[in-house]
Amino acid sequence: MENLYIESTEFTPKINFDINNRKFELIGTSRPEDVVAFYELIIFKIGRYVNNILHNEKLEDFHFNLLFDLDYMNSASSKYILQILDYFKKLYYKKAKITVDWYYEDVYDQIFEDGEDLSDVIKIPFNLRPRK
Amino acid sequence: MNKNKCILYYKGFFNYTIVNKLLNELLEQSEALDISVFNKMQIVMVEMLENNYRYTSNKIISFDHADFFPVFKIIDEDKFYRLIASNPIKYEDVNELKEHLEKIYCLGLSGLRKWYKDILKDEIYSVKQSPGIGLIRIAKVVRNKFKYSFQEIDNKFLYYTLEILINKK
Repeated sequence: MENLYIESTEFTPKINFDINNRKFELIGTSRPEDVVAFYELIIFKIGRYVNNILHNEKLEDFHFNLLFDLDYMNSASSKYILQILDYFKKLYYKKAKITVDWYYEDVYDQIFEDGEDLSDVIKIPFNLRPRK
Repeated sequence: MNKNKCILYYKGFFNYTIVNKLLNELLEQSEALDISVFNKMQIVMVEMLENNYRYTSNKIISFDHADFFPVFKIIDEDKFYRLIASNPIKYEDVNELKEHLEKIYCLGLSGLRKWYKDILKDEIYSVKQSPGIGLIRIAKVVRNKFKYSFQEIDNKFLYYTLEILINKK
């Protein structure tokens, strides 16, 4: 499978799905004009990747890191971020080591609360990390 | 003591490009704002405007009451910023929106967060493009009660106005 890299724009985030290094990064602002079109390919690739791992890897030894460093996301984006996390949840519940780093500027920021809420919805613990 | 001053104003039907333009106008003023106030304002403004064009873009094909075109404004007042968004809305959409607003009005922060998460859980794979949590998100962010009204335009439309306060401190 190939990596996926999408450069950020003013209103869409940078996506770095790096299969070799087992990491997925979503960085910047997420307010795409067509949120479905933007996330469709990303979610498709993640789905295929996760299914492949489920069938071909020894999950106890498998690790993957997801990094979210958002300065803004609209409510429509949260649904698609949850879909991404939901795929990795399949690995997490089969004992794979899935880590989620969620960056925020300030504990009073909405992004901090968004991290808490999404973690609670998807039932995977997030490492809530202050941006340096 | 501040005199009330309108710092952002737009009248007309909204689309993605106009929202971006307004966001950039707000950004130009961001140096004068506390960063956390600016972040809140950005979230509230986007959710209000996206909500606004959700009720107008595909649903209202012809509308010739110029007095009731959509309006968005931010007023700088002494202790808070007042964000006001108005738009025409079809009668058939009013009941659902009213119920939603009334429920938001009645809930405290923990109730809002629970409801928000319940909707996200239910909507992960729904066919709807957006999970419909924009107004709840606004209420979570501002922690002030909304004001809203529906004014009759004609036998097809009402003029919906939503008013939100963001504290300066």
